Amino acid sequence: MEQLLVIGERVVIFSVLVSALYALVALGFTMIFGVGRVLNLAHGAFLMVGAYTAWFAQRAGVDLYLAAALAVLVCTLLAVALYQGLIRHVQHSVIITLIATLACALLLEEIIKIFFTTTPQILQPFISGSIVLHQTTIISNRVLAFVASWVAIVLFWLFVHRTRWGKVILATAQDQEGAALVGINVRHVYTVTWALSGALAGLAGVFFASWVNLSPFMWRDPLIISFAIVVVGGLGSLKGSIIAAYLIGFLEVLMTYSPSIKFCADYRCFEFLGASWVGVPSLIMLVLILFLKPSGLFGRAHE
Amino acid sequence: MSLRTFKLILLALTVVALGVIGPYLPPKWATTVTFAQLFAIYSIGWDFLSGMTGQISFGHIFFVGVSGYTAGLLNMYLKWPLWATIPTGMVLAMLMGLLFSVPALRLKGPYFSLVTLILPLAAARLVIILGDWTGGELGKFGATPLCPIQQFVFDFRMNQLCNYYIIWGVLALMALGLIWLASTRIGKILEAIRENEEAVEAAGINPAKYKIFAFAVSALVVGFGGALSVHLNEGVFFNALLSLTTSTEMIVASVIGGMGTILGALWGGLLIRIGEQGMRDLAHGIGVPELEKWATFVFFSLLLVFLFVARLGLFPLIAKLRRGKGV
Repeated sequence: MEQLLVIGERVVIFSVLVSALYALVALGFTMIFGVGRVLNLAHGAFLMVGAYTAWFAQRAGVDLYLAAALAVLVCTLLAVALYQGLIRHVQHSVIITLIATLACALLLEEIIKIFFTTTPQILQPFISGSIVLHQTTIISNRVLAFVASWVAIVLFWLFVHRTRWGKVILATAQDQEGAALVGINVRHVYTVTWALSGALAGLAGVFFASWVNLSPFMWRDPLIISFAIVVVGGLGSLKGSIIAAYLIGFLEVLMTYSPSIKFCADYRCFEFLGASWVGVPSLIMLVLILFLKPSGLFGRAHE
Repeated sequence: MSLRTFKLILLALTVVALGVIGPYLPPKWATTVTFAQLFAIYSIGWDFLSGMTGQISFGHIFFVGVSGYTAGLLNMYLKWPLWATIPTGMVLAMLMGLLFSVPALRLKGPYFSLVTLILPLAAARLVIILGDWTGGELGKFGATPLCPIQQFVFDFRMNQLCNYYIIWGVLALMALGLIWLASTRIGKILEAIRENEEAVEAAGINPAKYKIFAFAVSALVVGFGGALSVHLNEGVFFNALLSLTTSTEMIVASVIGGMGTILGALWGGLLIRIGEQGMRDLAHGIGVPELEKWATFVFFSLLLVFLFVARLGLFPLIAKLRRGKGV
């Protein structure tokens, strides 16, 4: 009983922490989808590029705060380059856009493999040490990631709802042609959303590295997380995204710490639930919601 | 000359060419072309569903995985012989295709593609969870070799050519079948669905029925390849059976060759695998072995270029020549 309480406490604390990061991971992805109707399958790869940029700069002796800023910058430029150089020309076809962005993600994976090999790398934390809360030990860097994620989300919300540029973006998301009619340069708006999305991905990548190791395959999980959050939370709904992020984050953490049931036969064992099941709940939830309620739990109906 | 006759002549030429060069290939290249032919089976299978109907599947490697792991595990643990494992794997892949096609086809465009992207990722989790049986990410050695001769005499060269011609025969049969199917009424309806689904419905045809059929056929063909690959590799290996890169390369092959043409996808498939090996050789030949790592990179870049400048692919260019000559 005592032990179960400890596990419960751990699950609650960790899921609160990681879910904020998940919300940040999905933010840029949701925005591009909401504004331009583009599903950017290279979003996870942007995160990876951000994390690797910070790692590379850090290895070269750059201060981590500066390295993080560099990661944000590189991802912003990469996103704008991808939009201007490629997506802009194929955006009219949904399928071509999907193939093109997936190809970009795999290209970036190849580049990372070529230059940094497949060996997992560790990004040194911003702040070392850990905090003990009741019976749970928390790595300080993850608390920082949590705080930074919320700050970024709140700033983003303020930008969208309180500034002129934000309103322009919202208007474009609602009705592209209407926005063009009142004199908004839609192409500029798209460029700005891609730049913002890249910046958010770069930041998310740096903090994502506080939970996972860096590897050329690390882009897949954030992409699935983003996609699951968009589908569960509904298209273009920030509130929905955050709720979805917490739902998915909670299920993931629950899996990591849940006790597993072992079935064995001939010295070979099958574990039901437990750490090897991480990622399964979001996949199942994703498929179920896509099949049963494709507009998401909080989204507006499809046009 | 009808387009079908034209395609069949070109297919015959391709198949004969592959058949003739077999014994003359140096050992390394014989293996490369064997695997290239195997990959071409995947890409024509993909093309029959996605190229023809325009429903782009990102996760066709899932069917390779389902069939491959089924065949491999049945063979390794229950000692089923080859003639039982391969059909069982194929049928299971087809059933999975049917099972997922029904709900998946209710989804439009990008949602469909994304669900298909999730299938191999989910399967990969399952393989890792059942790691004690499947060998997890490392894989497991010990399946019966594809070539039956090897059980009696072991001769490397003969074994290699035997594998080569088994895959060659299957590829030829599958390509023939798919090109024939594509030229029947069913194929015409599938193409019409790609162009305008509403119009097909308005003509009193139920598009869902045809898409489900295409899904099942596609899964069956790709599953055949998957089951063969397990016996060719003599084991179940994660990288051969559930790699997302291979899954996307099927799209690359088809886009380069010409989507929805089957024959184009076959050429594209051969081109990618042979081209990759060619580039590796070239990198070693010019004394810069580091360059060989760039092979996959080059093909994904090529995909982007084709998406940009020649979205129709190679086959339609050649088909245009036929019309130009006025045959």
